[in-house]
Amino acid sequence: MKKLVTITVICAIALFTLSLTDKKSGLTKNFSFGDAQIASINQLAFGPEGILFIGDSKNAAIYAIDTKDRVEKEKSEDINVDDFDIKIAEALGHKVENIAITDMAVNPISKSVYFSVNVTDGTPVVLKLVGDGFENISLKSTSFSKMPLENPVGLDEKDRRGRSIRNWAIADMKYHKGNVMVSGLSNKEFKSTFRSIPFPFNEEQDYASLEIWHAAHGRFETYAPIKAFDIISIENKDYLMAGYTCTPLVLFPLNDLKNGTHLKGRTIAELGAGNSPIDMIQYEKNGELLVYISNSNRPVMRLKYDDIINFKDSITHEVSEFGASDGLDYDNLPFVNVLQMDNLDQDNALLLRRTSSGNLVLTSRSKKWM
Amino acid sequence: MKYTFKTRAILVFFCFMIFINCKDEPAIRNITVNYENAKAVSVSFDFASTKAFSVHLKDRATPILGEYQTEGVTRIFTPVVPFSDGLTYAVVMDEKVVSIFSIKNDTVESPELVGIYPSTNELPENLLKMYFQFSQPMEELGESLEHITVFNRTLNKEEAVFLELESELWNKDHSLLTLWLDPGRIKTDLIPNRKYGLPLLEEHEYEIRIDANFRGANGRPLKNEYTKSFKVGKSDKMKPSPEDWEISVSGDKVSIEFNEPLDAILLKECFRIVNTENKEIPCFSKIEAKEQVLHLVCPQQLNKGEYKLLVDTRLEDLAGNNLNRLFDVDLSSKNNMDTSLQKEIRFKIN
Repeated sequence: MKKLVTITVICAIALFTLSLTDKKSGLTKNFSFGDAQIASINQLAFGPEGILFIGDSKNAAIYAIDTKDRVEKEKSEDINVDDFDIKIAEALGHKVENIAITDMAVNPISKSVYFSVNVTDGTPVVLKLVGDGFENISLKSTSFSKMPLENPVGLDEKDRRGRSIRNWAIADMKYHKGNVMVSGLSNKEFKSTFRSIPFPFNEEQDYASLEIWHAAHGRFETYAPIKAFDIISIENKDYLMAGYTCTPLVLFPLNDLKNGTHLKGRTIAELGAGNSPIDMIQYEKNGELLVYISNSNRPVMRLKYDDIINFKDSITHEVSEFGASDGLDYDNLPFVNVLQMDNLDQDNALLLRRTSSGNLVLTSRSKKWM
Repeated sequence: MKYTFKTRAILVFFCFMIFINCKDEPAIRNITVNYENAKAVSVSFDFASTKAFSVHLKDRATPILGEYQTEGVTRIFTPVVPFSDGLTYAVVMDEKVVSIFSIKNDTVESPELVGIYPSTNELPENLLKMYFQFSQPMEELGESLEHITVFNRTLNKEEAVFLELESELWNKDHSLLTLWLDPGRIKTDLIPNRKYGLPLLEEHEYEIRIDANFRGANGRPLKNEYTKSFKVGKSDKMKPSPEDWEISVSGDKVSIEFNEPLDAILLKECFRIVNTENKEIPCFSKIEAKEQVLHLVCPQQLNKGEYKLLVDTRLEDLAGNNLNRLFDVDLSSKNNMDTSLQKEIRFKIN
């Protein structure tokens, strides 16, 4: 009898645990299960509870995928994988020239690393790094939610009728305090759009046209597209820190980003022409907050948060010498050809970089040495 | 020594079992590559065993990611990404290759470049963008500029005139590519403009070359190398002016003749005809005369009466000047910019 009671109690606990695991959280209660019909993957970003956001330029939409990858881990193992692109190509049964790695994101809960990969034939792929191998994240049988990106100012009715769809290129995407932030460019106008989309997705999304003083230009420039951005908090107020081609770094107060507003930014640095920012991350080291920017034609740059908050000026004069910098000081770190960069855990960053011999290496790097 | 029938039966059974165990694994039979929409989406074979297997690129140790299914004696492997045309794959069991198969799809055709826009061969010095229309979806690796080069025939050198974007601008089926000429070099006084000047120079002759290594999404290279030659004229510093357009009607066709070539893609979507009750007349667009003439063909016969041609102000000329503003505008000037979304042109059918 005692045995029967024990078994019954164990079963009840197991069922209760199972029901808890299976229960949808508030964030995923509107999710559907099935084929997300994602057409392309340009950007990845992690939100809370292991939710992976996918920027799909072809469908002009943002998807939230429930990876169910929620087992907390404080520290990642060391990562050091050589010939990274060759390994991905082999795992997909293709030659390396048939694939391109488009983005990388680390799940802040599990410290697992995810990659989006483009293949010649356009099949969208998300892979999770497991040891030095990969696991496919199914996009066809998944729990997901979708948010179409509205057209920018001057919404064209014809687009809604399906006659013509604006082509999008999603440049960067981040999750911040309940909102998915997206910067993008369309093929119809050379106009940057920045959107803030509340998550869980509903009907709302805010967008703004952003105006910057381009020091290299010597006057205001409305139409430049943001290439990479991050959110930074200054005196308890959140700011969009946007990096542009050629390479002004500009602050916009996020609170002012309301539907259709036209914001003027404050240019705090000119990081030199002939370059585009690729990724921006920030973390605290020895009690000091630091911002890191990887670049297309420059090494990784390190900026000090204190310098950012203490720089009250706006650069409104011309930088006339080609490639010269202005505004904030920064350090060039000895990391070149960094194609992807993210925070791995509290002590390490993760870099995907091409070495001078052509080897594509994925390595964790102690923040002590960055 | 005599054996009983029972003993003999047991001996025969043991011999049979030894024979079975000494034999190789059951052979893989009927290996078939399954195609869907000309893509090799899976491989299947008959195998009378439940032994696990994996599929690899030939001579590679990494198993390909995908799904395994068993239907009776048929084993099916569906890779995450369809198999690649021209490659050979191996079926592996117990670390031994038990079968190989190659993908060769003769029904797959090479893509062709069917149009470059602007199609005219005289382009303004401040040309803003070009479109490349292919006959089928192209590879999705974001490396188009490795295959599209511009040669300045006047200076006898290759020039980098297009803006490199991390995410390229393609239409949804990946058959139409938009390339921007570097706006930083077009806009007056930007450092790239000062340092390098305009991407295209007046009076110079150029040739755009699209090399035959540019592959379609099916992995096949372009049928040919393609070239387009053009000469560069003066900068276009005028907005398109609807007041100067000529409208004519013939049968079910309303034709608008511009006095310059306009953006080939925007032309198709910036025009609508409505009647006096603002009800839209369904029409389709046809572009002629190197994007200088637009025909709106309205299968529903146009009756006598008054109509309005509605034109979206975002319609651009080849320099990116739209109906409201110039692309390279001096923002320090105090001119008020027209912000209307649409212009109306009235016309009458007698």
